[in-house]
Amino acid sequence: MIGATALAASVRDGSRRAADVVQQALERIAATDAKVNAFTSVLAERALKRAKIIDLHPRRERMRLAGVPFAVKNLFDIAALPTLAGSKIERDAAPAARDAVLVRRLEAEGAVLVGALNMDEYAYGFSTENTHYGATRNPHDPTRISGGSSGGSAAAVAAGQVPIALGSDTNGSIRVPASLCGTFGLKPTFGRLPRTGSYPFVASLDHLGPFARYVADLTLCYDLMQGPERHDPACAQRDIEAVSPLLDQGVGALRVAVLGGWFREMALPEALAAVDAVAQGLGTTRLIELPEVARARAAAFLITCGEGGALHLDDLKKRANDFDPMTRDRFLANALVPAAWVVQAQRTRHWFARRVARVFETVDVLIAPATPCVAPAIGTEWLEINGQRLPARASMGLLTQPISCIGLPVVTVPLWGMNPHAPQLPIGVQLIAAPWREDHCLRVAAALEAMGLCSAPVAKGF
Amino acid sequence: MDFNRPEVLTELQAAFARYEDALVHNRVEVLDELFWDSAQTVRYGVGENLYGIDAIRAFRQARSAAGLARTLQRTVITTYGDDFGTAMTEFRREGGDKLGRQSQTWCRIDGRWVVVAAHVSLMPA
Repeated sequence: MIGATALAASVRDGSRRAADVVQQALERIAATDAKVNAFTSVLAERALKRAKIIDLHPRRERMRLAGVPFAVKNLFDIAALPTLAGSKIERDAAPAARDAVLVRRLEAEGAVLVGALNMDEYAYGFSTENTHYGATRNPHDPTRISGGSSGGSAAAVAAGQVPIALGSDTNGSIRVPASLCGTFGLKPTFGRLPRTGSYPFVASLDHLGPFARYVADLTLCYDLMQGPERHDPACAQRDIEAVSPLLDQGVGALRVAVLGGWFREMALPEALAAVDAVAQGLGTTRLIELPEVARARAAAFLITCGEGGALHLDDLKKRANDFDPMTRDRFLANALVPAAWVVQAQRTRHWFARRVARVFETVDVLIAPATPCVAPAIGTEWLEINGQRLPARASMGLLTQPISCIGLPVVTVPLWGMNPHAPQLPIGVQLIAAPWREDHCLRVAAALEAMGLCSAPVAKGF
Repeated sequence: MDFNRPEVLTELQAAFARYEDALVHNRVEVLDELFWDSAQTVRYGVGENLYGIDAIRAFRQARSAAGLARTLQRTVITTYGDDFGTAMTEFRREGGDKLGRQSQTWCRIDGRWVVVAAHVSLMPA
């Protein structure tokens, strides 16, 4: 199926009309969403109106995403709709006054928002088994989870409903569903993309980023969302550092290594096979072990508990029963976490960031699995990893959390056929770079895509 | 820990190649230079156990220079951090019916890569 970059080119040169492209996307969503349950709102009227404006727009021939349909996790503000963040409680919230900044930036380049996507309630989960809105199903096997919390975003892209989608990642919520649904996903450096106009989860850890079926689309979408924005206090206010012009540089002199220790111990054979295939493709036998990875993960958990619990404290006191049973007990427990633990977790986080910064003096890209295994069945409670019986929903992020804890940029790339018992299912590999070096991990992703090792095809039957 | 960091691996590969060249050409002074000058150095040969650099030097001086040519196969060199490594290889001698195994533990000491322990053995091919 045609990607966003090619689609935009055809709308720019007039060989396609944005109105037709958007109409087709809406029809496709209507025909397929019963199978996936990715969308919680479809914005047919708004999208068609916007598409007609693009077709007549005086700047159309210069719009880099002219006529490209996209959708966003329902924690992004959409003007005139309440921002649900996967909850029932927020249905009572005032409608958003305007679109989120990233939505505005993409629409300024001609993209057309077609809907809002399902997620774990308040982004607290790795499975998108949302009790209020139903589970989002994996397009490659509808009996399995899509991953989360941006499950709707990954599933919509994997089902070919939209060529690009936006999600958020606090502990792995872009990388986990990208891995399980077999799409490319980018979690940029913490502070790169402004979060203005999105529903927070953990302000110290929240990132926003894109999903796509092609690395060029992922990169273009990312480039067009960059730039300073003064209303997000965590936004680093950096100038745009476009990566699209650098993508064809390939791996070149970039130094690549596999992450050992925790990242191999806590992974099942299919995840290790995927990492080893990428390492072999890139011709590296180098292995690096980071110190205290389990503590870094624990720090991410504790910061999540403290900030997430505090954010919802009022609703937890007044209407706890309106929370999703999937998140309620954890949010209630979080509200009781002592401040001393959270402060200590922040110290651990800074220590780990400094130690990892030293590692990046001699390496440019680190390789690790994105998830410990392929997508489990919907309703799975337990996973067996490294001889331990672990709660499935919390454990899907055990390889992503230590990395987002210190805000490093990561591209997730999908590989196929790594699990002989489920060869139709994808699994993702994290390509991790130093802060602000999205160009490094995107260049490696593009090289792996060009080699044919990684790809994100639309699921069969869609 | 950083395994097989390219700069380090390249250094050890070069040291290993230098050792192999010195061995087949019986350049005793180079072999000597590439073993740790210490009483702690150990070399298990096919027919002798040598403890300490003095015993290793004495063995080298007494050895015949004939029939040292050999070919290596399945060589695996790995570095651990910046100053430590292992070099494992199989070897065959021309006309020989045995498969040789050579294990070396290398360490960077005072800025130079040296073998700190080694073991050579033969098995039926």
